[in-house]
Amino acid sequence: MLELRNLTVHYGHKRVVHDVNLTLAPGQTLGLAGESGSGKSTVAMSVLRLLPRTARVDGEILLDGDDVQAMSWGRLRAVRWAAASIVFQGAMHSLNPVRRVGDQIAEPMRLHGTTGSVRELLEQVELPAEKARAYPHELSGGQRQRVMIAMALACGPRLVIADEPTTALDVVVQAQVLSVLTRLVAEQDLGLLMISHDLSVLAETCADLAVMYRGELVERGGTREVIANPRHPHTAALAAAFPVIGDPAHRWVEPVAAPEPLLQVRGLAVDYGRARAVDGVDLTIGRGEIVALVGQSGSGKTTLARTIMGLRKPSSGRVIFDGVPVPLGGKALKAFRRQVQLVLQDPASALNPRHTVLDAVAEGLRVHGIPGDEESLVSAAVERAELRPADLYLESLPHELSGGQQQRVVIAGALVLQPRLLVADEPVASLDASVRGEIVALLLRLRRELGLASLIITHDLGLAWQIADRVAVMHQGKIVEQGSVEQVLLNPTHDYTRALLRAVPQV
Amino acid sequence: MRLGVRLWGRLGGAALSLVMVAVLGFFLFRVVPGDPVVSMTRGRPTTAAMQAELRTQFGLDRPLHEQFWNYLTSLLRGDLGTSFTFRRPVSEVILERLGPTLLLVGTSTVIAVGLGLWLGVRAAWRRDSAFDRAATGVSLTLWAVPTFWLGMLLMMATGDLFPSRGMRDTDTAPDFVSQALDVGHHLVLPSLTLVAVVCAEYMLVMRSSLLEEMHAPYLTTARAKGLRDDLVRRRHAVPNAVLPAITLVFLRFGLVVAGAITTETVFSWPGLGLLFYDALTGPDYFLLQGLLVVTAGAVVVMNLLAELLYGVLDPRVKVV
Repeated sequence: MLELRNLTVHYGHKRVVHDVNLTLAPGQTLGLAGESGSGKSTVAMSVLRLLPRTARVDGEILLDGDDVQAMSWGRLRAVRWAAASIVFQGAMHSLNPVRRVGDQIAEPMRLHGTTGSVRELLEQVELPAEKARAYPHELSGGQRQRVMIAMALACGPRLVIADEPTTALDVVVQAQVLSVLTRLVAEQDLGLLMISHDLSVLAETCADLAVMYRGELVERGGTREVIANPRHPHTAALAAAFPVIGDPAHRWVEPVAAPEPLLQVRGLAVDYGRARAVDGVDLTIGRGEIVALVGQSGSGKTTLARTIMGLRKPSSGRVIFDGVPVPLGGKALKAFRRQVQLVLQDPASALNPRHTVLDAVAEGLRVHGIPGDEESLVSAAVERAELRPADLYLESLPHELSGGQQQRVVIAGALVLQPRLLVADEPVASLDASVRGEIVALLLRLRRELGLASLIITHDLGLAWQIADRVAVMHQGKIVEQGSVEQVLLNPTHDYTRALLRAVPQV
Repeated sequence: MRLGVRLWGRLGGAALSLVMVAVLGFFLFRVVPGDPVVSMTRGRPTTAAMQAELRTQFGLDRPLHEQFWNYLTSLLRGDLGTSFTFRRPVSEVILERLGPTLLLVGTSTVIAVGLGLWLGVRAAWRRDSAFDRAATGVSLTLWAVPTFWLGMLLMMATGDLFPSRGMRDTDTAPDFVSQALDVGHHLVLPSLTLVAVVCAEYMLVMRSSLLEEMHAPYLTTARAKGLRDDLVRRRHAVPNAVLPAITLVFLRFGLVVAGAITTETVFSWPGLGLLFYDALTGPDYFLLQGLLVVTAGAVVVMNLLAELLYGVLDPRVKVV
C-alpha cells in the first residue's frame, strides 16, 4: 500500500532524511521511532507531499503504486485524505481555532464527495455528538485528539499516519486515546504508520517497529524483537531511556533513610474562586530527600508547588521550612525564595532568548544582591550543571544550545543561589530520550554531592521510579496516597494509583 | 449571567470614557493662556464694553463651577454652545458638515480597507514575490508622503480632468442625477488622496498578521485534507489573520468623523476637517470644544463596537 524507495530529503545543503526504504501492507501497523531531528516527521509529511517548498525530495514515494512525487496537483488533492490521512498532534494547533470542530470534520467529506455523518464519526471516537458544535479551545487535549482521529477517518482512508498523536497528553488520557485509535485501526483494517519518540507508546499500538537515527533508518522488525534484542546502539539507548517500573536496573536512586524534615506542608488548601484546587494537603520533604508528586494534569500539582514556593497565598493551612513558617511577604519571603528554586518543563520558554547564559544564570545573584565575583560564581554553577568548560558557554544565547544544554542552564540558574530545595515541574518531559537520562543523573548527582532536596512534579510514573525516594499521588486536589516508591508503585493501595499505573504504556 | 456582567462592564467603560472626554473638552479650553474673548476678537476693532458683552453672552463671566454645570447640562440636551465665527449653534454647524465628511472619508476608508486587506493577503501569500515587493514598496512610499503634497501633486497631474475645489458646482442642474454625478466628480481627487495615504496601514497589518499564520499547523491539516491552495487561504488562514486588522479598521472608522483635516483643506471640501481648520484659525473655542467632544465620542463608540464585533468573530474571546 505504501512503499518508500530510497527516500532522501534535503533542506538546502542539510540532509534530513537519507536513503529510507520502507513498505507497509494494508492492515499492517508500523511504528516509526526516533528523537527530535531524526527525520521521522519529515518522512511522514513526504507521504502526502506536505513538505515546505524549500525541501528537495529524491527517491520514490509509492502510494497504492502511484508515485506521489509525480502526481499532478489535481490528482494529489484527490489522493490526500481519501487514500491516506494524518492524525496530527491535536493538542497543539492543528485544528483551526475559529471554526467549529464539526465543520472541520465535515470539510474533507464535502470536498471528496464521501458520504458519512459527523455524528457517527464522533461516536466512533467516543465523543458525544453535540461536541460537533464546540470550538477547539472548548475541548480538553484528549477530546481534541479524538476530534483529530474522527477527522482522519472521515473519508475512509486505507492508510492513517499518526504523528505524535499523544505527546503532551497525560498518561491516563494517552491510554484512552491510544485505545480508541488501536480499536478503530483493527475494526476497519487500516494501515497505520505511527510516529513517536516514545517506544512504549509504539509498543502498545504497533506490530512492527522501525527506528530512525540522524535521518537514516537503522532498524526494522517486529516490535517485541526490536525492543528485546536491539541491534543498533541507538535503539538500545531509546529503549533504556524509558524506565520500566519495577525493574531494579531502572531504579537509579540510592534511597536515603528517614531524614529530618526540611519542608513541611500542613493542611494546605488553595481556592480559585469557588473551585478548590488544593484540598487539605499534608506533605513532608526531608533534608536531601527526593519526593515525586505525581498526578494527571488538573490534579492540582502545579498549584501546590506554586503555593509551597510562596508564589500564591494559601486559603488555609501552612508551609514550614526548616522549622519556621514561610513568611507571606517582605524580606523574609525573599530570603526563603533563595533557598527554594524552581526548574520548569520547557527550558526554551523559561530562558529569555536575548539573554546570554551568563545573564540568565547571574540574574538570581543580581536579584538577591549576592556579593562576590559574579562571573566566578556563575562559572562554578554552570560547571556544577555539567556544562564544561564554563567559558565555552557563558556568552552563548539559548538558541545556540540544544534542549538538554538549555535545561542545564536553567538548573545552573537555580544552583547559583545555593538553594536547599529544588522544585522541578516536569523537568524532563520536553527532552529527548537520550538527554532525559543525563538530566536525571545530574539531579541525582546534585543530591549526592550537595545534599540538595527536590520536589519533582510529574505525570510520568517512570520518572518517579527512576529518581525518587518517596512518591505522593495527587488526585482532585488531595494527596490520595504517599509512601516509599517501592511501596506506592509496586503495591498501590488506592484505586486512583492503580488506574494511573495501568495507564502507563508497557514496553 | 456572567456574560451580561461582562457586557455591562464594557458599556460602563465606554460611558466613563465619554464622561472623561466631556470633562476634558471643558477644561482644555479653559486652561489656554489668555482671555478667550480677547483672542477670539483679535484683529477686529472691539471696545471693552463689547468684550464684556460677549463675555456675558458666552457665560464666561460666571464662576468656573457654574460654567461647568451649565456646560454639562446643555451637553446632555445636545447643546454644544454657540459658535463665535458662525454666530449659530455649534451642533448645527457640525451636523451640517457631517454629511460631506462621511461621504468623503467613509468612501475612501471603505475602498482603502478593501484594497489594503486584499493587497496584504496577496502579498503575504506570495511572500517575496515581485507582487509583494511592488505592493509593499508602493504603499510604504505613499504612506510616507505628506498628504497635502500628494494632493497638490494629483491636482497638477490630472490638470482639468477633475475639479479640485469644493463639493459641487453652482451651475449644476438641480435634479438628483446631475447633482450626484457632480458630487461624484468632485469626490475623485480627495478620496484618491486619502486612499493612497491610509491604504498602506491596512495592507501592512494584514500582511504581517497573515505571515504569522502562514506556518500554523492547522494550515498543514487543511492542505493534507486536499483543499486547494486558495481555499486553504480563504477558509482557514484569512479568517484567523484578519482578526488583528479588525481592531485597526474600527479605530479608523472612529476617526472618520474627525475628517481628514489636510485633505479637506487642500481640496476645500466642506466637511468637519475643514471646519476644524477654520475653528483653529479663528480661534473659535466653542466650536473647537464641540468638535473635540463629537470626534472623541465617535472614537469611543467605534472602539466599543470593535470589541463587541471581535467577540462575534473570534470564539475564543467572550465579550458579550
